[in-house]
Amino acid sequence: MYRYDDLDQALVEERVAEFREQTRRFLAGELTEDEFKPLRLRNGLYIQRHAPMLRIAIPYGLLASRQLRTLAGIARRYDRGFGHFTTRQNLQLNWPRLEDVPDILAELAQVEMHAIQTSGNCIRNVTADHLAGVAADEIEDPRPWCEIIRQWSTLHPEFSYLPRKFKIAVTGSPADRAASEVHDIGLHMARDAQGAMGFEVLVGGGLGRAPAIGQVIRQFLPGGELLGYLEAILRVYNRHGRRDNLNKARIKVLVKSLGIDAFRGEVEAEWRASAAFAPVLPRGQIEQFRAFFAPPAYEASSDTDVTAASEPAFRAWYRYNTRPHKVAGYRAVFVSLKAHGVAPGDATSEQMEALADLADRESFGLIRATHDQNLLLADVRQSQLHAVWQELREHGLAMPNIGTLTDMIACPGLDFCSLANAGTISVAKQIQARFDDLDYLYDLGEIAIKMSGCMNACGHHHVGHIGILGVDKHGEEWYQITLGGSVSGRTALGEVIGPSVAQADVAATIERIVEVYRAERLEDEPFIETYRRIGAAPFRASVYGKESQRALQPAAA
Amino acid sequence: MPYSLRQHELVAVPDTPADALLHPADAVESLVPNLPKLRVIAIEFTGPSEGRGYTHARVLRDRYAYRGELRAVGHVKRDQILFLARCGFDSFELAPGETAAGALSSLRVFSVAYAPAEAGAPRLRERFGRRPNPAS
Repeated sequence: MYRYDDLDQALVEERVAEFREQTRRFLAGELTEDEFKPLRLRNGLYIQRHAPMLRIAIPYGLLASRQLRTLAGIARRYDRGFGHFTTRQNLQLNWPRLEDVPDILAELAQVEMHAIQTSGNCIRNVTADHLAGVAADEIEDPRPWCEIIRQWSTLHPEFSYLPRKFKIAVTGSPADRAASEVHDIGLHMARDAQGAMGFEVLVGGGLGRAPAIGQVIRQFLPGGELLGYLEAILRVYNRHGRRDNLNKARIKVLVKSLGIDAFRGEVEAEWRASAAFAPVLPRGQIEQFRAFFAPPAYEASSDTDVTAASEPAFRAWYRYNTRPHKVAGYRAVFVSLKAHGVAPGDATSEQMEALADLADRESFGLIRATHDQNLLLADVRQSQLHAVWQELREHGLAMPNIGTLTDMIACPGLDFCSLANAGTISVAKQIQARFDDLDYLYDLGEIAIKMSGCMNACGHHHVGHIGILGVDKHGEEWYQITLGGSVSGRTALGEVIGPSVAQADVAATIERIVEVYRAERLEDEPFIETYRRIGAAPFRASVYGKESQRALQPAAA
Repeated sequence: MPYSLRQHELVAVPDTPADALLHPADAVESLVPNLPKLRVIAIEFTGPSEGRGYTHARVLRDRYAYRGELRAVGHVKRDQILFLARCGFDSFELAPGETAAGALSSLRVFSVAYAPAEAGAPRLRERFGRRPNPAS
């Protein structure tokens, strides 16, 4: 993985010193709350329902074991012994004291970590495919490019006061595991006819209040031109993005209002006009970044069927929680943060420490955070899988449900977040309890539930096969259901199937929906394919049919 | 009173009126016909989240090779000052309540940077380079 040199280290340490002084000025009354707000947000610090919330960046999801141990220690000493992994490869702490945050950031800096630009109207933590470097279908490892983007965007002098937040995701595989099409910029690694490395560039994707799917602005951008082209997009956005209305300030609104062709015209003109001044990436510099992500020292081995003659529980875990690896004899292992009864994405300090130790022994000391709020050991020898499974199971990290209905995404919701309209954690637990039978879950196959506690869509509900959006109705928590969203393969936005349902009825509603699927599916047809084939009507009829009217409120006007 | 940037120093200078004032929503291009005659261009910042001025400055410096004084006016707080300097501003009319000592202290926090800055900004160790400026 990338290692800081003295420039990187100086930057994070100077950033800590700057924030320590800013915090001192705020606590001394030299900065008003309004003045301090943009400064703390740029260091990942929100003021939340109970306490500040600190969002720590895990750039493109990659963690060394010593970093995970540091996160565990910080969660234990400054928080309540757990952290929440998010869909954008960050870790959120919900209870730190404002006065402690400079010390927390200083501890992070000692292990080459930070919380820079995890919030605020600036370029956020860059995210990537969690199988980067190990997926067999990969064109190229996106992580060197992510690190280049991380550095270039950190404290960028021109783009630190954008109209709104700005998110970039990079994927190196045709299978999009990074939700790149719902990012402000999505970069897909590609090769041109001569075999040169570069990117297909998408722009204008995003969720939130007005969800949009990214559109192709450039079929092929040579790799060396990356920063200049990103600057051209950002410059057009910085000049012309709306600043009069927070809800219309994302780049997706600008792209939509101009149309992709006119927007492309603006960007290409800007790119040409600024070409002589753009930051450049000489080939040698790109190679330096690539060298950090060279494959680890894999042992020569061959693929074997390690599940033969093993117990059914291990076979189920192997099937659902491990993935093929491009190197023979290895598997990628999901560490499920979706145990039933636990808030999706949460891990305790003890779990993090156990996982760090396991990674040191079994996966080259590296751990990854995934878009789906799980963790991953990317490089496990097949011969060790049974031992790894047992150890994960001891720590409650082996729930064999990856890709199933209870591997759901959920934001922290009303329990923690001051933006939320409704709770998500209790609803997640309600669903986990209702779908606690593994055989039933396996029969349902791949179903992605994504749940957000408000329109800001941190839980990506628009792109869930089943989306759940918490809404406030006269002070009560209700939930709007969407069907047909998707973010891998073919990105699609879900369709609202009807009036929202009461909190107590969410899991029962999900059950009605999946029962329609079970009745209608053709052989091994996955849920999303059945939905696309038969449409929303049969699901709507089941959820809102006569027998269920009692439990549901009347259709909204 | 504006302060002029001299590498890592801020020097108080007489309050000479600007030859042109650019508001956030103005097009930089409107200044171009008269650019050779302009010695001081003021760019206004209207609030804590206003960021168009940074782009205005870079476009003036890079694309139109403007070499006169570029003054940040309005909501100019000490915590923005290094970003402003790196985008090509070389003088600052600080917002009420700000002091030159505070601004200078903020200006000196960082010794390193990633993205390249305009010529004339305080020299830091930088990671990424730019193509050489043909106009300079």
